[in-house]
Amino acid sequence: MNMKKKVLPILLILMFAASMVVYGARAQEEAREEVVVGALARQISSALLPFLDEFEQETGIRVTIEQHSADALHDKMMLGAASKAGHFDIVYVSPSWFGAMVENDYLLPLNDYYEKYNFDLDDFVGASVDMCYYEGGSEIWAVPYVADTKVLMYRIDLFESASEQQAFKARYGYDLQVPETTEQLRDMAEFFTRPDEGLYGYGAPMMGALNWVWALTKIWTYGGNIYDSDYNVIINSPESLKAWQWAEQMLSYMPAGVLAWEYGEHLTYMTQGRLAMTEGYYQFGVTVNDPDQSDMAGNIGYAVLPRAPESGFATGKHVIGGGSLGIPSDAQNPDAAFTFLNWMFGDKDRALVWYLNGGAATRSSVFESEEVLAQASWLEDLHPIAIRSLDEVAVSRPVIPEAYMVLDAIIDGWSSVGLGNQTPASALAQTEREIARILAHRQ
Amino acid sequence: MSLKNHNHWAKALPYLAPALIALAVIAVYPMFYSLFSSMFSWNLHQPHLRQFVGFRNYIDLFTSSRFLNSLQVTLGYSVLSVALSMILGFITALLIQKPFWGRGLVRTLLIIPLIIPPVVAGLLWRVFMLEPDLGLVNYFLSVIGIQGPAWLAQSRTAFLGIVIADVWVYTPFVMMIMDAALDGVPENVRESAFMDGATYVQVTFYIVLPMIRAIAMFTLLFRFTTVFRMFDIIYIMTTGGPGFATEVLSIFSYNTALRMFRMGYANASVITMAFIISLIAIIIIKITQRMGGSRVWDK
Repeated sequence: MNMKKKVLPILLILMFAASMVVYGARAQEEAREEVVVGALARQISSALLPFLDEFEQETGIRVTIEQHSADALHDKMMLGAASKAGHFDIVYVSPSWFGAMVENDYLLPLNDYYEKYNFDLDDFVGASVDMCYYEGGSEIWAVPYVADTKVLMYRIDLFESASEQQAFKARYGYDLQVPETTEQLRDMAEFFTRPDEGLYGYGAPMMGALNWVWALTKIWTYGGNIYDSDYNVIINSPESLKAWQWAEQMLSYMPAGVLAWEYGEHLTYMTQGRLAMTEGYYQFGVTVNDPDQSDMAGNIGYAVLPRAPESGFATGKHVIGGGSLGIPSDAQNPDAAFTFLNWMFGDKDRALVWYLNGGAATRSSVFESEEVLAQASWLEDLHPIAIRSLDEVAVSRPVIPEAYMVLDAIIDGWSSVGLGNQTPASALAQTEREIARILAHRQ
Repeated sequence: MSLKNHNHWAKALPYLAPALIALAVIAVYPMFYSLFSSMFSWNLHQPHLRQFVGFRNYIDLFTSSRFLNSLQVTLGYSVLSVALSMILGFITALLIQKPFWGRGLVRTLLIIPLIIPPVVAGLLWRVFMLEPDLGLVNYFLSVIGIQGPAWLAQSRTAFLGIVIADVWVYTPFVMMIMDAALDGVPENVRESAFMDGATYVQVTFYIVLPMIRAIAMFTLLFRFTTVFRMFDIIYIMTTGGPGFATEVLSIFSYNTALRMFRMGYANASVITMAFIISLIAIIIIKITQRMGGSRVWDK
């Protein structure tokens, strides 16, 4: 009886141990074969889904794409990375999180993988590649995924009108043509500002975070910056002053409500013919000439953003939008993860099909593809401008972990100029003090 | 506690336990966790560097010009919105008390703003009403020869804009409650006063208002707690701008938590906000009790 009593527990323990071994082996096998991608809940992520079966058939690696809102993805990723939970093998990296992820060792440097797989970046537009490097370092932390920046859009009928050209030349002493410098842009914006006719020279959104986008990109255009490579704050410079003085003048040639404009309003004004010029992201440029969405279809031309005269740049500057794909340092299957990244994004043909499915264009070959250009007649004008802008105009935003506070200081400073509460000079001095306080610990 | 009471509680506890546990999990625990977290320097970008800092976050808050600006904006917004919606709601309730043709339809139309989702209400005010060139408000102003401002692009008018939107949404709520309360005032009391020679204004101020004061104070409390926490309509209309001119405390906390990821600091602002709301609630309750309206709160 006693013997029986002992045997039963021993048998149970042995069965439990055996099941754990079998389960553990299976779990390990499953872990080896699966790649979990933490992606944004957008069409660009859904456009990857049709490729997954083919990839699994070829490599035996199953890819699961989890789509989250930006905030949810950020929280899940950051908390997971801190606790080394190892949930994701590939993650979407927004420029907003990039600095914190790199500085906290949450991302794997991918240089060895790039070399091993011979991943070629030559075909990718400059902006998409810039987003994969941190603060000018040599380590590459991600694979290009989505990139966008702004282009200048203008009304062709106004610029080609003989009477407008004559009147402009009489008033300003040079020909009316697509502006190449910020001074020309200001003159033309002034010239076309005719509130009685419901027409304004220029328009750009400045609501909330878009406020710093306007204020900082003009500083970049004039050759200024927020801080140098040692984090000494240099925003209160002659270049920045010129930039904000120019930006303040430009407000006179914009509709009164631009400080409260979100992304949509400047395009609405443009497509209704109420703006002579605007600056908009490439993706918006696709819609402004679409007859289904625009009264000005066929009448909007594209150009790169104009340069500031003494900046030494060939074009104006604007911020890069978009993000990249990285491998978390706690990924369970980093090799399989890069195998997928290489298979999906390292192949020109696949990148083209992805774009046609609703993905993003980050390769010149996609922008220049006949299949893509055949989608709409105006893309032949837009895409060369887009490629040049992504190569020359686009600049990475500040990505250090304190970036949001720094950008809020710029919002505060520029808003006070826009609202007429401060001069550009005093606002820049205040902004510099605030940013110096935020970055003091980096000195 | 007497033995009788003790037995009473012992019998009731098993029945109350599920509700108490649920309340503890979904309300008490998060509140205490927020309070606890507010004592830490905790950035979601670096959760492993979480460090106890005591009341440092609170000191930082009250020395931050941006937080103090938010506090000022929130208080101003709350006082103005609540006062206007209470006055307009009460007047509207008085107007629809008397029977007239189409009264039911008017009542239904008046509550439409209340059933519109806040996001839609925010968009409606931003795009269709206050847009400087295309909005209805400036159109009507131009009809009478006034050039309307760029409402949401200037500090003062943006502040006024978010107050107007809130009043538009919540006046019907006040009106509904007051309408129901006025229905409860016996008609013979008013008629007696009229027969004694009282005017309509005198009857309203000296008879009707005192009779519905408890409900009015309850409405006031509800409005204050709602408006003090307002987020969606303001965020849609201005995102707290221009600059930080309309950044109320809830938007400040949101920005601190989900844009800067300073969770400890954000929790400190949330706790401060909860403390202020509680303080206002206590003051309103005390005033009501002193006015003899304790019935509503004691039950």
